[in-house]
Amino acid sequence: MSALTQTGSERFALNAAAISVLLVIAGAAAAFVALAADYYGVGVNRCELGCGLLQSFGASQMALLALGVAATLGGSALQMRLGMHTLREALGFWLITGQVALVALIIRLYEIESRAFFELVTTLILCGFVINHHTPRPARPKVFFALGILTIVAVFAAGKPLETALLIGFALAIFWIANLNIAMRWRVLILALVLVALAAVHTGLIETSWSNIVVPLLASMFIFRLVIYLYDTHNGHGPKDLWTRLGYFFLPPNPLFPFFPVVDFATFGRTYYNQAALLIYQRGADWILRGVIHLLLYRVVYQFFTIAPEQVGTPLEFVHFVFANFALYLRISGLFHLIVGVLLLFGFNLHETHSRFYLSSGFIDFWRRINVYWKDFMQKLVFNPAYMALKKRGFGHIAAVLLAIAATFFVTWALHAYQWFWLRGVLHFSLPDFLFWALLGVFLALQTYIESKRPPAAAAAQPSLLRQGLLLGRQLCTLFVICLLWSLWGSATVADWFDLLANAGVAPLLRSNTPEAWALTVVSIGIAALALAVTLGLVPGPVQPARTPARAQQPYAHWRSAVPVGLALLLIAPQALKPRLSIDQQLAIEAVSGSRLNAYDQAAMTRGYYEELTNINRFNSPLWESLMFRPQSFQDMADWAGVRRRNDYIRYDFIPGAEFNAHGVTIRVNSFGMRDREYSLAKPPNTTRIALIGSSRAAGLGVEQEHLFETRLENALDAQAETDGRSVEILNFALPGSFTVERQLLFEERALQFSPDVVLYVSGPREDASLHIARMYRVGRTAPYPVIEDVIERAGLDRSMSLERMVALLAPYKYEVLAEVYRRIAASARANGATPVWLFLPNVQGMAAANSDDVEMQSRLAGEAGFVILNFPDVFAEHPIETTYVGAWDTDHPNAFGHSLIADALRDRLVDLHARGEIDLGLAPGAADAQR
Amino acid sequence: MRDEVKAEVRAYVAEQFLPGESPDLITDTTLLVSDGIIDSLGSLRLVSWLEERFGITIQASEVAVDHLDTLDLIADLVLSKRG
Repeated sequence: MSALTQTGSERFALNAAAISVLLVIAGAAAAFVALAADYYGVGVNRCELGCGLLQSFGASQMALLALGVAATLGGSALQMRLGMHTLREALGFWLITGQVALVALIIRLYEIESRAFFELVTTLILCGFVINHHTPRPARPKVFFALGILTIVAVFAAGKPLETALLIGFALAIFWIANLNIAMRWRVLILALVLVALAAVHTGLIETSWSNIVVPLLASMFIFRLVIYLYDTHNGHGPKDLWTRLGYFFLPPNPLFPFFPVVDFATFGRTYYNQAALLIYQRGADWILRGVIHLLLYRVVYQFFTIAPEQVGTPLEFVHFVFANFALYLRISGLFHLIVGVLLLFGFNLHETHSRFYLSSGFIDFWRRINVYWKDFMQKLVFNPAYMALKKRGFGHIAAVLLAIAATFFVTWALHAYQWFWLRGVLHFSLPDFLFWALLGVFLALQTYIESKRPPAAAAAQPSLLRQGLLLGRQLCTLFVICLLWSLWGSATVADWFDLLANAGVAPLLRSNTPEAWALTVVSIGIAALALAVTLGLVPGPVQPARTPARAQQPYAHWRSAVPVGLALLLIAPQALKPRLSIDQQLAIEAVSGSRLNAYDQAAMTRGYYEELTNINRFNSPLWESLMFRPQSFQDMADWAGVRRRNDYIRYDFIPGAEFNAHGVTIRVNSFGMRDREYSLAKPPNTTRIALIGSSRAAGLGVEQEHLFETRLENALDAQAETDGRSVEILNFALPGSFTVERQLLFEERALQFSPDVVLYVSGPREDASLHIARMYRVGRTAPYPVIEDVIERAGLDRSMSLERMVALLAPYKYEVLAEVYRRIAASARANGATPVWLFLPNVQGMAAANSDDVEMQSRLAGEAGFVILNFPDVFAEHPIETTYVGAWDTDHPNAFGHSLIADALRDRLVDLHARGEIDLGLAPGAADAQR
Repeated sequence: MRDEVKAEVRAYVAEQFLPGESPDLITDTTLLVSDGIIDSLGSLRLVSWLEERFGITIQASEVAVDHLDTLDLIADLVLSKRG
C-alpha cells in the first residue's frame, strides 16, 4: 500500500511538473504571438518610429500578452512549489528576464539592426529563454534546436517559403553527411562535392531563384563551424548528444547575422551549464546590453563622425578619419557581444568576445582581445598543428612559434577572401587586404620574439600613477598603429591609401620632392615609428600583469542587475521623452534610431546601382549588407545588353530597339532609344506631349514598364483628355545613372525634336555632376560648356589625382554647374514652346535632415532658371519603406507600388498646375474640378 | 605518481605563468586556460615542457582546454601517455 502511495505521489509530481512546463510554453507562446503580431500585419497596426511601443498595441494583443505572462508566471510558481527551483533562483531568474526584456525594448525602440530582428527575433529569444529555463535540463538542447529552426521559419517562411524549406533541408542534409558512419576522408570528400555544387549555384553557373538567400546563410552556418565540428568529433572532443550537435549549427540569431562568430564546438559542449545557471544568464544579459551600447555608439560615429577619405585634407582630419574609421568596428563588437550574450542565455557559457579591444597594449594583446573566437579557431586548426609539426622537425620553440604565426595570418587572409566569396559570390583578393594581414602577422611575430627574450612579468604589482600613465601611453600607441593599419585595410587600393596620406599632408613627399615635403614626411614616419616601437614593447614600459586565479571568481548576486537595469532605463529615457524635446534633439535621436545609410554610403549605394563598388569596408558596412542580397542577375550598367558606350560627354545610352533584362526586369527600348513604347517623331494633332527627363527613378530601375509612373500617368491623363477628343503622350527620355550634364545633352539631342509642350525634369540623387566631370576630365573629353572648363581650372584638377580627390575639389562648384544645366534646359524648352517643370522626387527612405538644404538649393536654382517647381517630399511617407522599395539591396528606387504612389500624386499636381494656367496639358477647362 | 606529476606541473606553472605567486594558489581544479592564466603560447610552452620532462609525445589535437585546463586534466594526459 505504501509503495502504491509513493508511486501515486511520484506520478502526481511528474504530471504537475509536465503541466508547469506546458503552462510556461503556452504562456510564452501567447506572449510571443501578442508581441510579434505587428510584424506580420505589415502596415496595419505598425508602430512607426517615435510613437511609443505600446501605442500600436490593440486590446486583444494586450489581453493575450497579459494572459501569456500570467500563465508563464503560474508555471514558474508551480515549479517552485514542486521544488524544481528555490525562491532565490526564481527571483534571480525573473530579475534577469526583466533585464533582458528591457534590453529587448531598447532594441525595438532604437530599431537595432533589421526589422525582423527588433520586432520578431528578440521577442522569440526572450520567450525561448523563459521556456528553456523552465524545461528539465536533459530536454533543453531540444528546446534550443527548436528555437534555431523557429528563428529561420519566423524570419523567412512567410515571404520565402521555398528558400526556408531549402535552407533547413540543405542544412539537415549537410549535418547528416557530416555524421555518416563512414571513414572521415569519405565524409570530407562528399562534403567537398556538396561545396562545389553550392559554389556553382552561388556563382550563377547553375541558375536558381533561391541562391542569393539560401547559399550565404548556409555558408554562414557551415563553412567554418563544419570544419571545427569534423575536427573535434574526429578527435573525440565536443558534445555527443544529437540535439546539442544539431543546435550547434542552428544557432538562433544566425539567420539574421550572416557574419557570425566562429563558435568552437568543443567549447560549445564543454561550457554548457558549467557554472550556476543564473551566473551564466546574468553574464549573457550584461553582454547583450553591452552589445546594444556598442551598436548605438557605432551609429553615433557612423552618422556624425565619419568622414570620407576624399574629404581628408589636413593632418588633423587624417587623425579624425583613421580613428572614426576604426570606431566603426564597434558594429562588429556590438553584434558579437549581442550574439554571444544570446547563447549564454541558453546555458552556453562561452568566452567574452572583443573584451575592451580598444584598450589593447600591444599586438599580442590586441589579437587576444578582438575576435577571440577567430583566434581560437586559427589556433586549433592552424597554429597548434603547425607549431607541433615544426617542433617535431627539429625547430626550436621560438622559430616554430614565428613560423606558425606566419602560417596563421596567411590562412586568415585566405579565409577572409573565402568567407567573402560565400557571402557575396565573388572572390575578393586585394593588396591592402593582404598587406593588412601580413603586417599584423609580422608585428605580432616581432612582439612575440621580443617578449620571449624577457623574463616573465611579475603579477599584481601595486598600480601607481606613473605606471598607469605609461600603460595608457602604450594603449594609445597601440590604438593609433591599429587605426593606421585599419585605414590601409579599408582602402580599395594601396594607391588610394597613399593618396589619403598625401592629401592629408602627412606624406607630402608622395606628391612633391621639396625640402618641406621631405621634412614633413620624415616627421610623420618618425611619429608612426615611435608609436610602433612602443606598441611592440621596444620602449620599456609596463605590461598587463598575469591573471591570478583569485580574479576569475565572481559569484552571482541579485544586486548585479541594478547597474545594467539603470543603464537600460537611461537608454530608454530619450525615446520616452522625445515628444518633449526640441526638434534638433529629436532629429539627433532619430539619426541613431534605425539602420540608415549615412550620406557617404547613400551616395556610394546610388553609384552602386550602375557600377561595381570596390571600396566597401569589408563586413563592417551597412552598405555591404544592403548589397549582400542583391539578385544574382545584377550587372553593372556597362554590361547591360541594351546599352552602348559613347565617345562624347554622354558615357552611354540605350541601343534603339533593344530588349534585355536588367536588375531582374525586362527593358524594352523603342526605335528612338527611349525606355518606352513607340511614338511618331511628328506630334499627332490634338495631342499634348510631355518629355520626361531624369535618371533611374524616372527610367524605372527594377520595375516592369507597365508599372512605371510614366506609363500610369500617361494612361490616366490620356483617359482624361480622351473625353474631349484629345490625347496626352509622355515620352520617357530618362536614362539610368545619368548625371545632370548628360541629361541636358540628351534633352537637346533627342527630346526637342519631338516638339514637347511640357518638359518634366525629375531631380534625383545625381544632381551633383562632380564625379562625371572628373571622369570626363581624366579621359580627356572636351567639356560641353565654358562653365565646366572654368570650374576645372579653378578647382585645380590634375589628371594624376584620384577620382575621389577630384570630386572633393569640385564639390564647392557643384551648384555653379547645376545652375548652368538648369538654365540651359529651361531656356531651350521655352525657346521651343515648352513649359519646363522641375520635380523633386525624394528617396523611398525619406529625406535626411542633411539633404534638405541641398534640395532647397536645387529648388531655388531651378526656380531662378525659369522652371515651374513641383515638390512632394511626403509621397512615400505614409507607407512602411519595405512596401515601397525595390529590395533590401536597393532601398533608393521605388517598386511598382511606389511608382503608383508617384503617378497618383503627380497626376493631381499636374492637373492643378494646368487648372492654374501654369502649364498647358490640353485638358478641357474644369478638368481639375472634375478630377477632384 | 599522479601527485608527483601534479606537484611538478604546479611548480612549473607558478614559476612560468604566475611569477611572484605561491604555487599553493593553484589548486587541482584551478582553471588554467579558461581563466586566462595560461594563454595560447603558454599552452605550447607547457606542452613542450611536458614532452621533455616526462618523455612523452603530445598530438596537436591534444593541445586543448580539454587536456590542459586543470592540474587534474594535465596529470590525466601525462599518465595516459606513460601507460
